[in-house]
Amino acid sequence: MLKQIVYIILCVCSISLCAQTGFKPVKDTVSLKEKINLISKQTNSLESDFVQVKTLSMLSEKITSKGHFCFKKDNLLRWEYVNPYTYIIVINKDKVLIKDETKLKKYDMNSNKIFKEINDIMISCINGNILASNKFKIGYSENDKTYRLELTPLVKGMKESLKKIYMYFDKAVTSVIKLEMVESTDDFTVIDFTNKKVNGDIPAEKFMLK
Amino acid sequence: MAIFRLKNLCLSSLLLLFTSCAIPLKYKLAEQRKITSSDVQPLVSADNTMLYKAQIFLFNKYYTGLLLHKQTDSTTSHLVFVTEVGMKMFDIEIKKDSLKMAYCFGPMNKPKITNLLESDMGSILLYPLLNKTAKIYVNKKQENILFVSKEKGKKYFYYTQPNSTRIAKSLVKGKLFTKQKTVYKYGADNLPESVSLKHKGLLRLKIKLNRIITTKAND
Repeated sequence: MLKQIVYIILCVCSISLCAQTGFKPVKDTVSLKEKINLISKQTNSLESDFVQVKTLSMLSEKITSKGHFCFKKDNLLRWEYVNPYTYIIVINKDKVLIKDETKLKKYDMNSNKIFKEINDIMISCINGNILASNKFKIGYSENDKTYRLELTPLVKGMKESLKKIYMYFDKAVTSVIKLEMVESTDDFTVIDFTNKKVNGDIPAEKFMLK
Repeated sequence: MAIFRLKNLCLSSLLLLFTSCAIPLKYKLAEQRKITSSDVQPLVSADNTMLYKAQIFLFNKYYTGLLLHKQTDSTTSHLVFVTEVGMKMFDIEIKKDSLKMAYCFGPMNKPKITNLLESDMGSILLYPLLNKTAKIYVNKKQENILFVSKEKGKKYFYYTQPNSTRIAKSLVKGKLFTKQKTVYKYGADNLPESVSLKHKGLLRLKIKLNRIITTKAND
């Protein structure tokens, strides 16, 4: 459960700030960080469709799911799968709500140290402090079309299950185009974001579940 | 009064013991032999990838995700549970009718839990029955068949649907009590549409599976 939320938060991190070939190290990382910080600061809300493809390496099997997510500062998030199943996770300030088909679960962020930690990660992602985080070792690389951030978890608990997280930005650093999470078992999940809408109006009801 | 209560308690305990171990009266033993896929329709076929939406209640924890069954070679298949957001929770390798946990997510990776999952998943997939020797009981109307097999100190009761080789429900009984009940419902394509398992006792487990019809994108 908590790991799922970490996953989603990492997605938000990647989007509010976030395997291709031919990547080489970025020479001017300071400038790239500034650009990422800038878009992070300028992004107050974000909506996007996504396609998530999970590849189970041992089985060479892919599981594809599609959905939509909404994010609004300071910490409102809705991550919704619509195909081939319905599943919604909402983070609304200090509450975590999960709706699976018709079943609704509520969790209190502050009642749990791990939730609190996750929330802190999320906020640091949104305000750009993730780039200075000691929870990840971050590498910067680029090719002709994209910048790639390679995040290696350093925190116990996370690094046991996640080997790497790759965040891909377009070359103009306007938004994240792709997120890739590689697990310790070499299974990986790729999430492609499309139809992005930055700083649009998102109704408050989106971040409530009944 | 106290003696009367004690008698009642003894009688009800004996009755419970008797009924928990008994074959229903309407069933009569027909024969005992090895059960094959012509007797019982397997839940998964070798050439099919099965994908289910899964809800797993384990003790006081609730997990949801996708349960995928895939044949990897002629003798091996895998049963993998992945959360909706893509985290793998467990991966059970099935080789020659034997289930072994190949991977289990940290907090769940405890022998009692992994053994329980191996055993109950195996039971759902009919491994204690298929290619094993079992007693075959037939009801008076000759419509339903009950297969009874034994494995590792447990008795497995598999009931078919009327005039069918499809399993409708199964019960697993320990020495005294019923440990587990599974109910199967089938779709028009003859494959299980939903499976619901309830495991009683100290190790409480509930599994609900609902099949997802995969599109080309998921294949």
